[in-house]
Amino acid sequence: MTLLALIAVAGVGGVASMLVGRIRRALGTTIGVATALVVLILAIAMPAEDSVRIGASGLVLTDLVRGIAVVWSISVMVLALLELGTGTSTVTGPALLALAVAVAALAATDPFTSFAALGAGSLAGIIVPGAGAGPSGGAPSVRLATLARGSFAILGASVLAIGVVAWGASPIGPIGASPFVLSGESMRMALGAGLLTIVGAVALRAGLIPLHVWAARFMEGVTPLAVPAAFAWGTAAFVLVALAWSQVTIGESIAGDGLEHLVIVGLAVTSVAFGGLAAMIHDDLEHVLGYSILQDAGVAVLAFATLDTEAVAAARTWLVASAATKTAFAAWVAVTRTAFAEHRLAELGGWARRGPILGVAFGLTWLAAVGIPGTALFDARTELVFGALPGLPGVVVLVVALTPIGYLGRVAIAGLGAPVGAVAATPPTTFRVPGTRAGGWSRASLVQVARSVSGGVQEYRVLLMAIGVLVLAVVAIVLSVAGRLG
Amino acid sequence: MTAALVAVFGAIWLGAVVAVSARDQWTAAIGLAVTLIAGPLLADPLPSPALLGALMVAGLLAAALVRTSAPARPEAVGAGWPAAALLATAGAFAGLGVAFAVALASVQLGGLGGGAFPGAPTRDVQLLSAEGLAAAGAGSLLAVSLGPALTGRAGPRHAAALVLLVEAVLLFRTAVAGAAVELEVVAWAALMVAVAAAGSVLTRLAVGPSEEPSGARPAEGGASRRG
Repeated sequence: MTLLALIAVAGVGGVASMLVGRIRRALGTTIGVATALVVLILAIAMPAEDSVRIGASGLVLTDLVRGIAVVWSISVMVLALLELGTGTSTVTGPALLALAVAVAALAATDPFTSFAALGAGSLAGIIVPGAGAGPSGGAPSVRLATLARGSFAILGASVLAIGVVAWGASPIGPIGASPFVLSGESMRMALGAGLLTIVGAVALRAGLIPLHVWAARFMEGVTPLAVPAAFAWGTAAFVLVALAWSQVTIGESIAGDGLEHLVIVGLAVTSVAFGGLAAMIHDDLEHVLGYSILQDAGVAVLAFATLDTEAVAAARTWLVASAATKTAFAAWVAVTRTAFAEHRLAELGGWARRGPILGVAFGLTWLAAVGIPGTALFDARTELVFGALPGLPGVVVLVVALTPIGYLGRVAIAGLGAPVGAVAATPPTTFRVPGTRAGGWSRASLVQVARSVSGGVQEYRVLLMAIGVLVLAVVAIVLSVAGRLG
Repeated sequence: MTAALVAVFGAIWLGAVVAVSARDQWTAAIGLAVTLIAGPLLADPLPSPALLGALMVAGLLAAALVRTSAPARPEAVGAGWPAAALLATAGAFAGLGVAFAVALASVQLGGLGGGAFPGAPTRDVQLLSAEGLAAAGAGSLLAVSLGPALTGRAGPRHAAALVLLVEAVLLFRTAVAGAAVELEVVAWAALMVAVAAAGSVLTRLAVGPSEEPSGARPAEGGASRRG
């Protein structure tokens, strides 16, 4: 029952945060932070065997569901606080709503419920930040076209997935039909088509190359703080549900060889290669963030090319750890942009010298994104690649999948260089002791202290935001090193 | 029972044609509401009152959301109602064909209610069953909604098409895999409302701040804006 309470709290809190945030931004965000805190407590306190039966279906708690609820709620809390600093009000509510539907989708025992819920939650994660984007979101006509395409892609992904799940459960599908039907060659072809359809739904949802145009436009237009809920976590939940269904309904014998295997590997490798390349050549941080997320999704899709138990377990680890890593990276992008009012790498020379805490946070994020042999994320990536592509092709793809060394390294090198432009004009973000000191306790001194705290928060806004990024980076590195989710 | 199901299918068909082809925004919204209310009734046996209520309320809310964001001016209609009616009819036949093929394969190959050997039907395949008509409804809705949803400019018709697309998939799911279960109905209702809200936001963005949506409350002393 605690699971149901968690979903209800996150959903209601998300909607309340969105509605109140339109009138009173700070109050909306405060509601969001409080909701995320309650969700975190519930996620930790849930009994291990918690489950809810609702009619013919139900919700079942697993380690994966709990892990995602804990990490995502911590992320939402920090992102909400960062949102206060960046001056936006379109992140917290949709992120909580997406958290609610992701937990419901992953805990639900039937895939129809999961895909329908994910479609509903993902639409909010796209529309609210997209519609609320300021002038940086591009011309209204471009923004409208991007949102229209994005809505259709999100809806299309859910519709495709529900359609193929319905086929699977129908009298001519593998679950509804008798074993006699399953033995035919036509059923083998039908299963292959089913697998390709569900992978197509994943490609549409994740914005994999070549279906990436709307996703790239969306990510460059909205605040980077909105990207984790819409793409990193949203995509992770969709892929996890799709993987679970494919493993049960399609099975590894279909995915392991034949045309389906080639098509899936081709799609995944295209996103891994071109996503990494695009992140490497683009100069603005939003594009680097966006394409790095597409590259991560490409690696995850490799699990569909085998569907064996090891690959699916590796995909779970990879999706959760890479989502946490990209959350930290998105937060870093947002805070860097706020601190230096720049988002192009050429204009950000010396950023790490001016913001050492941001530099440490970025270093941890970089380490978490690349990983080292023996850590959870690195091993998951290796298993996914070599599971789908054994031998030399696997080595080549693994090297390509390690391009975060390059595109994040480029950002790090820029940060360690001499400060230029707006960065040079920004004073270093360090603490100074404020000059206010109460001369004795009285009602007036309390007001003075309150004003001093408020002034301090304003004065050290960027520094406090950098600490928030550091918290997310620590979460990312912990998951990258030890976040194995079997 | 068959006559009642055919009547429900007729309501779905008519509502969808009106929703995508009427120039008047109120008429289009009523057409959308009729389709969304009739959709859950295309089942045998009927779902429980609670599930029916949830889907119908979600349908009404979706229609209201699409309506409130619509601009005051009548929207230009592409090919008009004759084309929409023909499309919906063609889609219905395609849906019936799919339902017939599924039912036949099920009987011949030993699926649900079928025999053990191919080519040996053990029961009649009923074309005008609840499943067949649900597939026909899904085909109709898909045929009339896919075009505006894919290629149409953001606006009330685009929003209505997105909602009809969701209803089409729900009907298809009912036709080939049986009725939705309790938790799933909640998710479907949420998806329908979310799609309508998304369509509504897109319409408002397309209309722009200069043009007040017709669903908005009229200014004090101002004339009511209908149509």
